[in-house]
Amino acid sequence: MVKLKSNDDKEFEVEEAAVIQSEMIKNMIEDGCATSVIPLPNIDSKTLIKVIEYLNKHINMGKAAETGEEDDLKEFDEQFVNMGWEELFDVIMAANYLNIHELMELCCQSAADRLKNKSVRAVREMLKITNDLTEEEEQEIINDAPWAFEGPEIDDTVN
Amino acid sequence: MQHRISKLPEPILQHILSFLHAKDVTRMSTLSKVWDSAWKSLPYLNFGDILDWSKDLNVVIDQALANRKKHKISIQKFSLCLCLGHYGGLCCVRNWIKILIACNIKELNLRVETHDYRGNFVYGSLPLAIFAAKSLNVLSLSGFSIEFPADDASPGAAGSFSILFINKNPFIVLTEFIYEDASDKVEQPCSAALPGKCWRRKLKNVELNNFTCMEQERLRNYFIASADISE
Repeated sequence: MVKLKSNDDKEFEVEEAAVIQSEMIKNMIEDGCATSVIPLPNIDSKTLIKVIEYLNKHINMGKAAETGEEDDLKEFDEQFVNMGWEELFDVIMAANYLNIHELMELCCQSAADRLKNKSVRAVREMLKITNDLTEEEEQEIINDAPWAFEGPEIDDTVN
Repeated sequence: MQHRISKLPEPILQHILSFLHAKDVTRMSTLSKVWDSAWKSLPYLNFGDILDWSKDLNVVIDQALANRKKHKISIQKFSLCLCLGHYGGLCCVRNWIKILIACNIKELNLRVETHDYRGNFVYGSLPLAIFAAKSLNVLSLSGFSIEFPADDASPGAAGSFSILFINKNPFIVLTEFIYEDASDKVEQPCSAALPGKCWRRKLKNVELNNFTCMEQERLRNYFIASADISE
C-alpha cells in the first residue's frame, strides 16, 4: 500500500497497483522516494478521493479487455465525468500534476464535449468568463473569420 | 467570480481545445484575451469535414497557417476533409502542405475530393518535400495521386491503398492514397511523379487493402523490395 496526503492534511491508502497509473508516483516508487507518506501539496482531499476512485476502478486495465469488462469501464468513465466545471478542472489539474494520461484524456475530452458547437454567449455564461478584449479586437476576429460565427449547428443553450 | 478555466495553464487549455474543431476554437477566441492567445498559438488544427468550400474559408486556413509559421509554432496535428467545388483549389491545398512541412507537422490527415467539369475525379499532387518531412509521424492522405513511371506496368483500375511505414522512431505512419491509371491526359498534370527510390528506401512495413491478388502483386513488386508485407 502507498499513502498519499492531500493539501488539507488527510491521508489515503491506495494499492500500489492502482497508484502506479500515475507516472509521477510510479517514478517516485522506482527511485525509492516513496517510503512513507507522499505529500500532494496541489491536491485537496475532495479531488484526491475522485482521483483514487478512478485509479481503483482502472486497476488492471489490460485485464478488462480479456474479461469483457470494457463496457463496465466505459460506463464508469461516463458516470465519472458527470461533474460540475469546477470539479472537472480540479481533476484535470490533479491528473496533469500526477501525470495520469488516461484520466487527463478522459477529462479534457469531457470538457471539450461540453464546449462543442456552443455559441460564445453560452460558453461565456457557463464558464463565467469576463471579456477583456476591446470591441475592435473582438470585431477583428469576427471579420477575419465570419465562417466561425454562422451555421445551423451553433447551440446557444447553457447546460 | 472569474471561472477557473481562464486560469488553467495555457498548455492544458490548449489540450482541451485540441479535441475541438477549429471552427469552435476560432469562435471562442472572442471570449477573452486568454482564449484568443490560446487559439492563436494552438498547435492542433482540426478543420473537420468541409463540404461547402469557399474563398472565405480558404483565407481562414491560409491565415491560421501563416500565423503559426510566422511565430514558429510546430504544428502537432492538422486534419481536414475537403470537398472542393472545382480543382483550382488544389493549388491552395498544395500550398498548405508546404507550409505544414515548414511548421514541422507531426500528424497530417488530409482528404480531398475534387471533380472536373465532366464530373471525373481529379487528384491532387503531393509536394515532394512531404517525403523528406522529418517530424512527420502519421500521414493519412486521400485524393492524391502517384504516377507510376512509364516503364512500369500500370497497376490497373483506381483504388485506394494504405501504406504503413515505420520510421526509425517508434511511430507508425499510415498513408492512404488513391491512385489511378494516369494515362488519361486530363489527369496527368495533377499527378506527382513518385520518387520511387525514396519510397523504396523508407518503406519498412506495408499494408495493402482492397486489391485483387494481381494488383497486390504488382504493387508489392513496384514499391517494396525489403519490406514486410501484411495483407
